[in-house]
Amino acid sequence: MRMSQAKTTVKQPKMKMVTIYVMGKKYEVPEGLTILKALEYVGYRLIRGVGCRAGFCGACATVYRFKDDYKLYTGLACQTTVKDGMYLVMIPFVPAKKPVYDIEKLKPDASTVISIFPELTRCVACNTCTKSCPQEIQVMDAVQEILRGNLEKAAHMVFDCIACGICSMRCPAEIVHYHVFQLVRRLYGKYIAKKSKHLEDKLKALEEGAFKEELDKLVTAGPSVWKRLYESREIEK
Amino acid sequence: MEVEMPNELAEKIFMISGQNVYACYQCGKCSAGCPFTDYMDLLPNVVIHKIQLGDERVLEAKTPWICAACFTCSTRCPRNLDISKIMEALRQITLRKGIDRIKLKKLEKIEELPTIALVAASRKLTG
Amino acid sequence: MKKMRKIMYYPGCTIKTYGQRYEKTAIAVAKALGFELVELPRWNCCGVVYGLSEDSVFHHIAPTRNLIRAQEFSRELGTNDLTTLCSMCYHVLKRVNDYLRSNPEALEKLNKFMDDEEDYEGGINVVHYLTILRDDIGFDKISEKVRRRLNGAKVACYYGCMLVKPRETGIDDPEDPLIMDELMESLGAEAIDYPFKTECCGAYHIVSDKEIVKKRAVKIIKAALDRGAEIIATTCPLCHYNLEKGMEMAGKELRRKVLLVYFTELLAFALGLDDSLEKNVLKELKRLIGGEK
Repeated sequence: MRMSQAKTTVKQPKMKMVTIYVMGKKYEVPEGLTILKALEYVGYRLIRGVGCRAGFCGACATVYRFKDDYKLYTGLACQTTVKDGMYLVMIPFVPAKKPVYDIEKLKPDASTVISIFPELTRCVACNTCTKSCPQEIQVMDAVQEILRGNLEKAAHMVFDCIACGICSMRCPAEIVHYHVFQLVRRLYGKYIAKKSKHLEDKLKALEEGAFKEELDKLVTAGPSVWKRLYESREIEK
Repeated sequence: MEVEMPNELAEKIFMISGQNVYACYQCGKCSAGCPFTDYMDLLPNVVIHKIQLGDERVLEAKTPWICAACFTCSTRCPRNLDISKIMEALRQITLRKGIDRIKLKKLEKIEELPTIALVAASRKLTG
Repeated sequence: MKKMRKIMYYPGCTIKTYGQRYEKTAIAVAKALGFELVELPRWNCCGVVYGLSEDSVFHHIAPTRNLIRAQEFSRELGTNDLTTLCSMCYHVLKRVNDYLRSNPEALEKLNKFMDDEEDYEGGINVVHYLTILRDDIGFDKISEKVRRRLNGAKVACYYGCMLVKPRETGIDDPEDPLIMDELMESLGAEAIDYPFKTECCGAYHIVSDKEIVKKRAVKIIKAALDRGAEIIATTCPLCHYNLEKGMEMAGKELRRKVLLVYFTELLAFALGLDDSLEKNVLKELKRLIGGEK
């Protein structure tokens, strides 16, 4: 009997489809897919604007709207599910030249950050950045904290920033928030945050050769010893 | 309010500043009180006159950029004309074309300036 | 114990950086006179200059957001009064507030744009610190609390532009304001009359045209010096910076230097609140005026 004449067939539930528009072109995609998966479903092969696919790298920034709604929505393509009537486009890259500075020569205060990013003074507190952030960071508030020199508070507020760049694309003052925030976090980590005493002690001990003998033994032991040691680690048990 | 202006420049100034330059009768009190006339190429009352005549070259004058918006002129004008708003309108015509008066990235010794000075300069001299 | 009257306080960016000594003395003086400045939570930069374009509310966004913060906080604190120290912050906040109160269209536009905030209803009162001292406390009451009379020290009060102009926004007459002079007299100082007390310091020209500021500073300070001033009191961190920088750039053009202070520093000195003053300012004031309380 030919396979095509088999009587038993598995009934496929009819997939619910939604209509989306990618850069103006209409597509039908299964409901429940993320925007990223939907793009690949309809045949796009992404070589830019895709990365970890887990909401962490900030590569897949997407902007979208719905019919009869003036609001502009933003999100990460790998984290946002498609909805019927979505008009979307991906922003795979946000132009922003990285400023060059020597962190050793900087002071952790407002004047330093403003001298490297003077466009911060153009902020009109319109809050468009906060509304655009897919990580729900209070972006405008962080910028304001930086303007008044509370770098520690600002550094903590922007910890979740993944540098997707949506805020910077929409900012009327042309601030590049993620570069500013990176500088602030660096200044905080280097100059303001409490130093870890045990780290410094351990590093000192290392430099003074406390582990030299053990390390030398390990380095010259050979692959069979390494394999045995690796497999008998505590974590494997 | 619908006001018909004899020339395009006066109309544009009216749209942005809400001020009717034809109220000015050239008494010169604004120029007399302005603290910055030493550094200007055209006196404030001459600027108003040029707008009345529709002379677009006034947009290339230094005067609106030297104006510090101190409001001395507006406080003293006998016709209640807000000259500082007219100066702002002249600045806005250029700024709204995307032409900034200062380049923030090219400022010298910016770390010495207090925030208040930089924010004020950004507002007035960049678009 | 009598409950201290609380009033909402808007600091402004520069007071938190360049003008910290202004805030420190203002808070201490307030406490000594029976009122407490409570800082507005989550405030943002006021924008420094009032948006002069009638066709655009863009530059009104930042000050309006602060007024909304004040509105939210007013329900917690039980007062509608918002005070500030910096002349420019005062000017912007007061002027925007007055504009929104008389322009329902503009208010609606801004409320619609700031859909992430509650609507501003226009109920906040913006009042400058000096006005509180004159109208709520009274200069004679302050005079009674003085522990160190200023010994006829010659103080030139520099008002600048934003505190007194335009007429509708200003806290005193734009041509001949006397509020600070009267305060200084009540502390025992001699308020010097000089022609340029409301003449612009040059404002933002310090950023790109320093020469203009130098010339302004020389003109203003020289007029004060010619009439014997030893101290110049100011209400604005930008005026303070410009006059200080102008004096530095002028060098020998001015026959002697003058001490530039914020009016709250003189108040703190007169009320004996030495802990709130910066060490070198305290030293200079003691040298010029005398040290005993």
